Amino acid sequence: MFDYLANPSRFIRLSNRVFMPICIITVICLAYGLYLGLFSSPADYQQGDTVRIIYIHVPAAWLALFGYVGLGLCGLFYIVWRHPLADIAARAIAPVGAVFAFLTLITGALWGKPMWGAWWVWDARLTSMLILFFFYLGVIALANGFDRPERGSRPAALLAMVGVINVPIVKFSVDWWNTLHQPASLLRSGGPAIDSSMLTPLILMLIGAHGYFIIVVILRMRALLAERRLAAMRLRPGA
Amino acid sequence: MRPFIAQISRDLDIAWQNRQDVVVMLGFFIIIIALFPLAIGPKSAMLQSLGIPMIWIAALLSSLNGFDRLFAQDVRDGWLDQISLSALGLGWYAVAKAVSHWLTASLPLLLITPILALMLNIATTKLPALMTALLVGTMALTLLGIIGAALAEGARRSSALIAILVLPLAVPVLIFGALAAATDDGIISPHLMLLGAMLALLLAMAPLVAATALKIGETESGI
Amino acid sequence: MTPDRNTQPSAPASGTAVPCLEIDALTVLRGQRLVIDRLTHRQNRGELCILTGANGAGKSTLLRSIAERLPAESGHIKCHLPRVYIGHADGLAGAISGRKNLQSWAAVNDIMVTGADIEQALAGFDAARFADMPVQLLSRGQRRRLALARLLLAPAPSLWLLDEPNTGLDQDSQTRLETAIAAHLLAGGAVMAATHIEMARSAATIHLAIGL
Repeated sequence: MFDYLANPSRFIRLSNRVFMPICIITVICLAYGLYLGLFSSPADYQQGDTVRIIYIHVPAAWLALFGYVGLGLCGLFYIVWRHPLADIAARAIAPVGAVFAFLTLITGALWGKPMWGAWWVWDARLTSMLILFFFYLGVIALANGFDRPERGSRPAALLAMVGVINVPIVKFSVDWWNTLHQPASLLRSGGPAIDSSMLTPLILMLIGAHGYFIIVVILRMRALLAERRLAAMRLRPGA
Repeated sequence: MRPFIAQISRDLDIAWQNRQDVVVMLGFFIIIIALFPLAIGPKSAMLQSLGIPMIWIAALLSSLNGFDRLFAQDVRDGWLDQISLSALGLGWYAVAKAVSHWLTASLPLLLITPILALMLNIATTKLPALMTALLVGTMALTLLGIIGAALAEGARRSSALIAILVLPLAVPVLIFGALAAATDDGIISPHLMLLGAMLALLLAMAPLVAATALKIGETESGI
Repeated sequence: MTPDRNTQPSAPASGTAVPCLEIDALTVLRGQRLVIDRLTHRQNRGELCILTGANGAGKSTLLRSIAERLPAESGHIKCHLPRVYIGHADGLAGAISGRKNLQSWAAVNDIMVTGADIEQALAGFDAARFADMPVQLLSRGQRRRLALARLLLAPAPSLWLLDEPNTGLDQDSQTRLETAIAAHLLAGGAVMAATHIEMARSAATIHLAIGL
């Protein structure tokens, strides 16, 4: 009988061991980073206190991208090596990455209103992030769009791989579009060279956000694995 | 070569039996175009500059038409099972499907574009660039549609799903295509070359992705 | 598939068994359900293998696995002959005629057929009468006969994978199918069929039970 428990058990044991340390690092980084970012680092001389939103906006953007690349890797593992955990990992990562992308868009809008006077501007980075968000939605919709749930794993994995190849192309095309239609560029997010007093909280937040991402994905993977085990047990005759 | 041509002529044969569908699709295209001036206003200055983008959006939406049924009928008929065992193989089959779909869906659009350009007051000097860009762009969109149709084959709301999958991927095609159509750099502009690069990439990707997606046919109904 | 129909040598005289299908410890899952469990099977040319088992036992799954439409979880399948698969669906496009369907099937498989070959194949199942009507207008049995006519166009020898081939066939057509199978086996081909109906029995008939 094909044993679904082999790799997943090893994963659960490994994740149990790293879970607590990562939690601690995450909490420390996020707490200290937020303190530095929101209170003790200087406000921007142009933008005032509103610049502080970059401490959430930048990590969110980075993780949205990182998440999608992870999704693509999972897709590769699933299609080429048929690794059973790859599908679980992909289903765990996708909504988390999508939320980070959404968060990037929201913080971008919140930043944009006081900065540029509009809730939304079609600036190159925000537009690319919007399309990345659609890419996420596509993978999630495809993975769950079939009557038999496991049927969606393979097409979603393929789509994630296709998406990863297209992300740089989309970014390039949006940059191309933006510079051609708007020769005078808008304020570059982040402003001129970042001072070290802003760099420290930013890096702390980045590390903390990575840790948060990993924790949430581990938790989701455990839940998905438990779900699958339940379903398999129900199907076993006379169990 | 012979199997490839045979698949195309089979699809054209089948399309010929349902040739009234082309009229429906063309009607859809024209109606979308007509809706813009109705929403914007007949003499508006905006209409002039919106002409070419409007044709592109309409082409994009119309070319999505029919993709959800592209492989579905062949799956249900059991033809896909025959193809996977045949000399043709799933990859070339996907390319053949792209060719026959382009011939039956995109080519008619291209042919009526000059008439629409007249309706939208697009200068005739702009027409060569527009037609060339549409030619390359519709081929790229067709290949994207093949990818979407192969991935969503057997899904519940496949037509909406295909749109969600294809439209974000189509953004570069739309951007380069609209720029190439409206440019003053002549027919062979940098935008057109980028569009051509997209087409080349999709030509390499689409058969591979479609073949991988269609390779496993668990049930005969494709569900 | 091979380019020409009659270039492969037929099976040697009886007494020499030439293997054409080797299945080793095949395990196939459908979703998370185990359908085929470590199946091992050997088949030689000239042999007819009949799959027996209850509905849903996995006969169609096995045939589709051999036809490479389903991935194996573990184990191997090795075929030494080209495969012709006829499943529950007929593999015919409804909008065009039976004759055109057969022609495009042959072309897609790169089999050189003349008009006479098509006529012969149609005659084999007495399908010439309705071969020029769009397939969607035909009855279930008529469509099945057109699907089976394909077998007479396939390169010889080959391995026929038939899933409930007799569905909807009248008595005359069933007899024609048995004749075709017998001739095919004699010419060195092999057949694996899932069927509930008594097929042509011979010394070279194997039964393979699927399921519990």
